[in-house]
Amino acid sequence: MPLGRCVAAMLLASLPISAWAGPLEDFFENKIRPVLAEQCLKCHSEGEGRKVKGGLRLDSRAALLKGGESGPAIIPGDPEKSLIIKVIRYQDDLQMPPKGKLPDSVVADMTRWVKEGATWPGNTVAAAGIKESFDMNERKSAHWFWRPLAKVNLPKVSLSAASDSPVDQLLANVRQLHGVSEAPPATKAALLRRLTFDLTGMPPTPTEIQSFESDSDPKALQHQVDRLLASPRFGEHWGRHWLDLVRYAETRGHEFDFHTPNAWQYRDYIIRALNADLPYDQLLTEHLAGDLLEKPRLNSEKGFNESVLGTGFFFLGEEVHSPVDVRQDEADRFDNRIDVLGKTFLGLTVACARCHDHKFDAISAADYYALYAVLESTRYRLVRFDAIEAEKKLSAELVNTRRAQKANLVAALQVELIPLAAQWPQLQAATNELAAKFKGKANSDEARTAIAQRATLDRLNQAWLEKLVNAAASPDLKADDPLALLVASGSKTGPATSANTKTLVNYSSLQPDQWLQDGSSFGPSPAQAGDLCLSATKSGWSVNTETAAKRDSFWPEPKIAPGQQLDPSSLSYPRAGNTLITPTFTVGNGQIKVLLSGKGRVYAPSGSHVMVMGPLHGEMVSSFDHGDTPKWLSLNLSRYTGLPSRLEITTDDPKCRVLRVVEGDIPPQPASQVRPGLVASWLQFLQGGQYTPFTDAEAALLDRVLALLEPTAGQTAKALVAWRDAENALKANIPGPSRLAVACADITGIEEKVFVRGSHKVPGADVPRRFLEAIDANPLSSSGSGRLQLAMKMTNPQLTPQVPRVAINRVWHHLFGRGIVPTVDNFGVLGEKPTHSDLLEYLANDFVSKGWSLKKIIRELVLTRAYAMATKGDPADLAKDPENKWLSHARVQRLSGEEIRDSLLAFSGRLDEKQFGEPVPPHIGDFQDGRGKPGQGPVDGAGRRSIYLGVRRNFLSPWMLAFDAPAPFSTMGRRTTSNVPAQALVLMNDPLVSDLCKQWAAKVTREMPAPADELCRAKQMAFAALGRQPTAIEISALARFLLGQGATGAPEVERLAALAHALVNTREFIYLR
Amino acid sequence: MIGNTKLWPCGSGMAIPQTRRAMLSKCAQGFGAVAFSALNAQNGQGKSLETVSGLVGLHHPAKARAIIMLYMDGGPSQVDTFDPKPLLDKYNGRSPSELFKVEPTQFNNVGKVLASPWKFRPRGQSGLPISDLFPELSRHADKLCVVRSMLAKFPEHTSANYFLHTGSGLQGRPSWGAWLSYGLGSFNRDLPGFLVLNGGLIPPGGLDNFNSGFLPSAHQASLLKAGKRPVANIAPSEARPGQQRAMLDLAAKLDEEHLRSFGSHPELEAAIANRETAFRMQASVPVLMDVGGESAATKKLYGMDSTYEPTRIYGQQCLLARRLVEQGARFIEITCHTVGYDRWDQHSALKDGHEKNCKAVDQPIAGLIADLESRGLLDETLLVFAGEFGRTPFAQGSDGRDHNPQGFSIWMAGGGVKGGMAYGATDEWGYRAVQDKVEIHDLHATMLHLVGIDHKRLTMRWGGRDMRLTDVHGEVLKSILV
Repeated sequence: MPLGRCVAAMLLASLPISAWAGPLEDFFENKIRPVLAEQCLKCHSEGEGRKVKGGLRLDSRAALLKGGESGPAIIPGDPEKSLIIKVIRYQDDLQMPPKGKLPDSVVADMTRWVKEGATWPGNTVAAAGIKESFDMNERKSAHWFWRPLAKVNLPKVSLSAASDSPVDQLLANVRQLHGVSEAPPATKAALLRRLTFDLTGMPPTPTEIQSFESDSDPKALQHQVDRLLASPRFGEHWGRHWLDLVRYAETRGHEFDFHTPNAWQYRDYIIRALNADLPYDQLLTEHLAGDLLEKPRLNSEKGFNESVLGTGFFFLGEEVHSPVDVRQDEADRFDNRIDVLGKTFLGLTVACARCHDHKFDAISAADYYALYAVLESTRYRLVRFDAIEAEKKLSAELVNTRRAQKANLVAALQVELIPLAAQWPQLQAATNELAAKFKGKANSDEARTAIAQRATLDRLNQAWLEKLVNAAASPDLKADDPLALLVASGSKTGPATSANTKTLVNYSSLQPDQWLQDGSSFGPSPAQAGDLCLSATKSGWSVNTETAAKRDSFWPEPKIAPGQQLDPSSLSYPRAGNTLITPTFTVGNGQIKVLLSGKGRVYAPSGSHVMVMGPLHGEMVSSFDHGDTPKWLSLNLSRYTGLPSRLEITTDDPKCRVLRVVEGDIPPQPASQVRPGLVASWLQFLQGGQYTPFTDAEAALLDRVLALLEPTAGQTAKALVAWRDAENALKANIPGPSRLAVACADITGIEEKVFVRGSHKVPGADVPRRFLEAIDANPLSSSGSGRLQLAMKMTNPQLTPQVPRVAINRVWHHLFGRGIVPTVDNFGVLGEKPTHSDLLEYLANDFVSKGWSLKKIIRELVLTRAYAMATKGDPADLAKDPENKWLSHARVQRLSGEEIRDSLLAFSGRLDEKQFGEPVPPHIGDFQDGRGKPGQGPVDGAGRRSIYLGVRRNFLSPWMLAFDAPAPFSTMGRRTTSNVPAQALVLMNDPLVSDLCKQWAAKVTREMPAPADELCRAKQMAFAALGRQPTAIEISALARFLLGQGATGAPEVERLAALAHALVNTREFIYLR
Repeated sequence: MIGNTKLWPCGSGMAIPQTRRAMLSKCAQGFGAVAFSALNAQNGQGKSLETVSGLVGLHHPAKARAIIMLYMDGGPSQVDTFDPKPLLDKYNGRSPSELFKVEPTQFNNVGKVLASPWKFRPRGQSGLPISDLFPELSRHADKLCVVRSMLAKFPEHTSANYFLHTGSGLQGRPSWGAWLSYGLGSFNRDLPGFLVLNGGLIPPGGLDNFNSGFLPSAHQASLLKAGKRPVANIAPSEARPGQQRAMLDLAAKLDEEHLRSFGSHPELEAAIANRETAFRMQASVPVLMDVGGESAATKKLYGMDSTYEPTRIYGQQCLLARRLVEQGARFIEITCHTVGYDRWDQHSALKDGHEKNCKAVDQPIAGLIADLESRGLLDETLLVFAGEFGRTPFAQGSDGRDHNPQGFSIWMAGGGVKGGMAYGATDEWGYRAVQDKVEIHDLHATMLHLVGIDHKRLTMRWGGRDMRLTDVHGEVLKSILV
């Protein structure tokens, strides 16, 4: 007992706590009511402009009885069970009043008051009931976003110029409504510059501009659009937009900024998917459940599993090493995952419902925890995405091959084992008798005579009986030798478990959906005791001695391609493809024991913790080396009591068999008896007949006896050779080294309780795994996480109209500079309303009917008249609509940091168009410091496009940050566009800028030799930077500048470099008109 | 003007500005204030620095115009500095779990109750007890308001650092200084609103402790280092004199032509103004950061003559902070310099480690207080001395202390807070705050209050919520205010 409380208890014992001798009513009025009023009611009563904290009112007895989110506050007569007493005693995590403990005398008074029945005089007010502030149906019907997709009738508008585009018609309708006009078209040069940046994030070249300007084909623009959509640069640019949504980074932040293994595979996946115009519904499905697709999408060139790579997005967030409370940490990580999932695909702030029902939207806390459990039923892994499909296919072939080959072998065995099967009951009885009689002296003449006589008498194979008796009577016979079962009259007794043992996993009684592994190396199901298998023994085959998860020796150690990152922690051993995963269990006292053989490692990811490193949680990972006989391995998971956990057992040792997982004491050996006619029933079993499963002891005995007696030859041996050859032939198809990527996998589907006020320490009501109730209240019925079902619901536009709306709005935002719903990540009540509702509905329908093709919808939008408008607005329109909500003219847009950098690379000829691959290590500036500082990268990022530069969470590029690239912590569909001197400082003084300007000048000089003069070169540079021919006034300014530079003695390349630097610093360069 | 709630905080963050003026005010934050004030000056409406730098508040009159956060990276031990616990002497060497409930700790290596190796004495007129670790600071005891009942919520450095700096244990939220820069800007058109003087150590969690999160990037801290190039990209890259000016003149000429033919646009105009500001900053910022002109006496006051290098370095940071405050900077954080240990994080060798850490900061902080006072700036400048959490009253191993978020001490001094007082209390072991508990949110609310901001009203709509530095928490510590 804490000393403080100890002292208090002594004081209480010596003081007359029942000193109040008056009526109980007076006791309440004098001792209790003032305390409630002064200490509690500020938060726990209704009043103007404040909320009732925890849903608990303390202003009437009825309210106390009714309680709040944590249940009733008092149980009259039982202070020990009354929540209010517990919390004022400060004995648990919930402590009230929050700012400091009440004096002990007050606690004693309150305790007494409850104990004596919680009298509350004059309190005749019935429980007013806590006001139900969250009404799902009311919320849902009140906000447009929950309504089904509306069919839009195109308006009849008189257009000044005819347009076929429904988009233009709908825009014109709205302009007309608000009395604003439509701006004239932008110049061709400006349009191509806008289009090229919007579609590829790169500037058009002067040649491209000139050729477009001189192209009089009415389809000239369409040709440009198609060219740009087909460019590999398209996926790189739109991929960057997408990476903002999924808080893409390649490290995990926190203290040491450890890497997220091979995170860039996700980046490449996105670029490929966008370039291939993967339908958006499929993109979504792959993100949620790419690992669960029966027929995943395979890479068209290299055949690897593309779909599974999408699931990596869940794991691109922060991770913490050594959190003191792993469950709290899990709650924080999952909050982020749900936040990203909700905003990215649904445009909803689902994560706001972590601590309470959503304050504004039709999203309950139960919804949040329904999704939380989906994540809890999902496992983090590195997937062998090159190999996984080939392995699956091979695994299926192996099953078929083995079935056929085993049938051959069994047929041979049937013939050859008939004599043994017939004699076995007598052999067993005779062995039992004789071995007991001649224990330790089976070699004596007397014994030999007795054996011979008995063989003759019972018509037994004398050699067999001799071998059996010799072995069973041997003085060296160990207690765990299966033959001991014969000597011990065929029985061992004892309960399967003791009272102090709880079986968590038993591979002899596993439900099919509990059979989980990473890879195929544990076979399609647990190995059954008594089943045949190939082995390295003399006979070449053996009997499975236990029902167990068994590492299949067919599969070698999975090979990993060079250069793959593993987990940065105690988990840095390869775990993909060779790991058994137990069903999920809840940790009790944490004294876990695993019965297993062989050599390998065990990881117990409790509370979904994956950053096992540093001072805490080392007990999550342990190793074992048990040899051929299963032994108990002890794990101490007591730190994780109450948390869902599982074991992930990784091994390449064919001796490894996993039988059971228990918690508590090691259970005694299970009882076992040898059935009569063991061999005969075994043959029946092999033929697929009805049989009672063999106990491990029986199977071991069978294996031992068959090895000892060698009762087969001839046909069996032939069948065996055929089997071995067939398997060897298959081994040629074992995939070679594979790359690794972060991905999801299903584990046991579990359910979660609501965490009251977001605290995992205060569990509330149970919730099944499901989607948002406002969309579909049915539980996800599948046995795993339910992610695939969830994805199917989300991609059904009748059920989830939010998905196409959000997607199409993002496209609109990027092309027109402002979403139809400007708050692109939040379409909820606190988001902004759509400026063009009909247009949004029209486009969402159109998108779905065009097969969710992003490229088709982008093509449609950039070919509208609206897209081609000039940025100069009519003053009258500006006065009516200063925000340009009704789109009377195009919006000026600043280039992103990536676009600026990529443009400079392009101008200077430094751009390396190489796609994909490991990120270029970022250049770390003098002002970037801290733990986990990475190695230095090249200033120019090796000339690669910005999307290929490394993104280290704690060492983000100052350049990109200055131009508003978001810090990757949650979905950011709309970057801020700030306008600050720091940006000017970057363009003036960043070493990359001056470096590239010099290269640019050199390139132009090289490419435009005499007779082109300096001014020609300068004009060409201005053309490239501004996307248009310079005017006469501008040309004379360029000339004057060069002249001035010449006067300082600067040579030509330096003069041109300075000119380039000036061009980079014009605002026309970084602002699109 | 700066601090007009009608203009900003912009309710929806990135709402498209309605007018040229609103647009410019959107840019006029931190660095952007430059463009705004320049514009005002051109229009003849500009105010000089002196008149602007009064005690203006956003929601109410301010008591302080600047805040200097003395960040004690790693977590100083409360029971060895500002929170005397005689019971530790009595029970020294006893097993703590026999005496009180011990919470899980970061290293899970709980040793015995460990008495403080340092003596506490009453200091000044107030008698506020401070241990012998801070002989110089102790002379200013009557100016300190020690809060002994701090709670940190997170027992790991990184989460606790984010929490202390941003009010959230998660990465990616705006730092306290970013919020204040967003709310109030800078008084000096050539200075960003939020400055971090890097003493050498970047705390766990990295630069995200000083980031702007979902606020406009202009409000992220500018990291300043002593030396000729105190800020990134501040040194002109041109080799020849006049070349940069000529280059910028050409850019200006081209922009002028551009606006003439394509039409004017407020955002473009603001960007053009920013370019000029940046040009001026190249000259003005390095001058501000040069302490060469300070007198020998002043340098001595800050410990810059010390034989101990960390003291000299920290002294220079403190002196720079004073110079910056004088020049109109408002939100400054000073990070520690290494003393050969892992910051204040004495998991072992408590005695040597804390002695060296104290030696590094004691004289400089005392000098800062004295210097601010002598210049009449102390009343307008709030000093906050805080680590991300405290340390256990029992040993980790034999001679260290583990992290303790359940109760620890910080202090404030200067603008708007009472001196010579202790607020709140831990239990008799110095382990848990038990009286007048103060959350980090309360500290933030109080800091905001003192510079004239109602913490509940400084919001940014992001992710479907009106976000605040104090989340949904925070109460101003009224009883420590003057």
